[in-house]
Amino acid sequence: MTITRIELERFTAFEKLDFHPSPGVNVLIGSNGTGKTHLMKVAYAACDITKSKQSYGEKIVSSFLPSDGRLGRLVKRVGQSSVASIRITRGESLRLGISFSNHIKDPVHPKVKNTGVAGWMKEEVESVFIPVKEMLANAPGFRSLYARREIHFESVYADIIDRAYLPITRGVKDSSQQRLLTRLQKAMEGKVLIKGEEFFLKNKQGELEFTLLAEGLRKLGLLWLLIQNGTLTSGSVLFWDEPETNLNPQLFTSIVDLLLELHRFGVQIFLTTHDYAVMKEFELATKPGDQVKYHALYRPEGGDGAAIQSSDQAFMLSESPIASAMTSLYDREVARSLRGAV
Amino acid sequence: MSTFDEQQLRFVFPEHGDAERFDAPGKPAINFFKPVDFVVELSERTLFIEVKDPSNTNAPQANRDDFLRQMRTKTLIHDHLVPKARTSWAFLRLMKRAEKPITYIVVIGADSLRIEPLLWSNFTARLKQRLSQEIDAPWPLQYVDQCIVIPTSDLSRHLPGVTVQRLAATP
Repeated sequence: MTITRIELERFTAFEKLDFHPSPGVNVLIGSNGTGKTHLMKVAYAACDITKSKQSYGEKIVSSFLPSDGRLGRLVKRVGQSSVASIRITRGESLRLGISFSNHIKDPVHPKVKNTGVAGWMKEEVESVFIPVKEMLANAPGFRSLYARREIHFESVYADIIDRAYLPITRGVKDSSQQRLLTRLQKAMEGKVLIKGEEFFLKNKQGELEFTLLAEGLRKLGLLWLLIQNGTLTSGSVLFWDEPETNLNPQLFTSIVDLLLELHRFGVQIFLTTHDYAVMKEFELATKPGDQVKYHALYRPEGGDGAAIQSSDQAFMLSESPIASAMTSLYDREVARSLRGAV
Repeated sequence: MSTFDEQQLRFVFPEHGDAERFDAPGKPAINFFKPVDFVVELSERTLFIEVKDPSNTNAPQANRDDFLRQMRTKTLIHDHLVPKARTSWAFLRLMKRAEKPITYIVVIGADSLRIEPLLWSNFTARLKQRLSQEIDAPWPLQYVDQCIVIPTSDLSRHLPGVTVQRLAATP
């Protein structure tokens, strides 16, 4: 059951947002500070609690890390007193809601209003949030440190390590999973091994620790682990914040192909990007029947809070900062080339 | 003002530039001479303008498809755009008319295509590279000072006074 709607009111960058994602791939673009990662985190937190059984408010606090753990700090400040609300819908009717005022500190305070929790929790959903910073190389010791000490890391970092450490699922992988694993192995020229808490890439040369690997390969390794251990499976939801970070652009083709394969296999995907080439790879690799949507988050002139614009085509969004940056580059190149000719 | 029709496209050049149809009938027929479409003499610079129109609705679809294939491969740049610039420059040089820096403008009738600005930039970069080097080392004399590939829709915005319009398709 996929996420079909995300409604936010007076939450962080948003005054009022009504977002209808695609059941397939959702590519989120927008300038810094328009709320792309926030949007993914509220949806991820809602998915994650179906497995962790945490309260939604607690998961939101650990995912956003507001100062002093005060849930109320996530309310978009308008005047003295204000109330934020979040509503996430899965499928036709499963709806989880939370609302709280800016005066609330404790995420489980009785004044935090939760709705639809029982029904929501009954339908578990696997979800993964891959943050911008790659974590597997720093995984040894991180989990125990995170569990025992108050360290200032959003829970998404600990969560992704937990997901990567999950043991391999029993049974034969279906042909789509096997195909994906084979493609990843080909791209990485090896497989991932976990020894103790350390990750290694095993290939013809031997076993290479993740700290010595290029970040692009670590990202491919993470996907391999998540498919291998059954986290990324049909019906799961993948959130990936800026997959292009520290990646050689030549690897974009493989990553985008893999993401499209995952979506064809039944994984709902949300990703953010600032990169023209990522958008273009999606546009070029999309096949008839694929469900890929592009969403631009932006701040309307004179408006109060971020808004969203969606399209089935990568470059038809009028509010795209990527397209604007490209146009600006091109215009300046034309102007330079025609200097003296005008 | 000078007005020239290049198949389905009408170009109007302002008075201050001396625009010349370079590949018109009656121009010198020299072996292996592949002229650009227009040469515009400005006070400080000479413009070479070459027009390619894959959106020409009078052209057979096969020709238009072939143009796109040539654009994707090296053919358009290596076999057409660069030889045209090189031989046009050589002709002007022999005529003692190639004293000013040359700006090479390739205008593409792109109304029927959907090409983002970055891809025009990429195509320009490929053209520049080939203009500067066709053998195993760059030409010691770089005969083109600037070059740009630009769709017809952007031409007037960047070259004020120059207009281009598509003429109605002939029945």
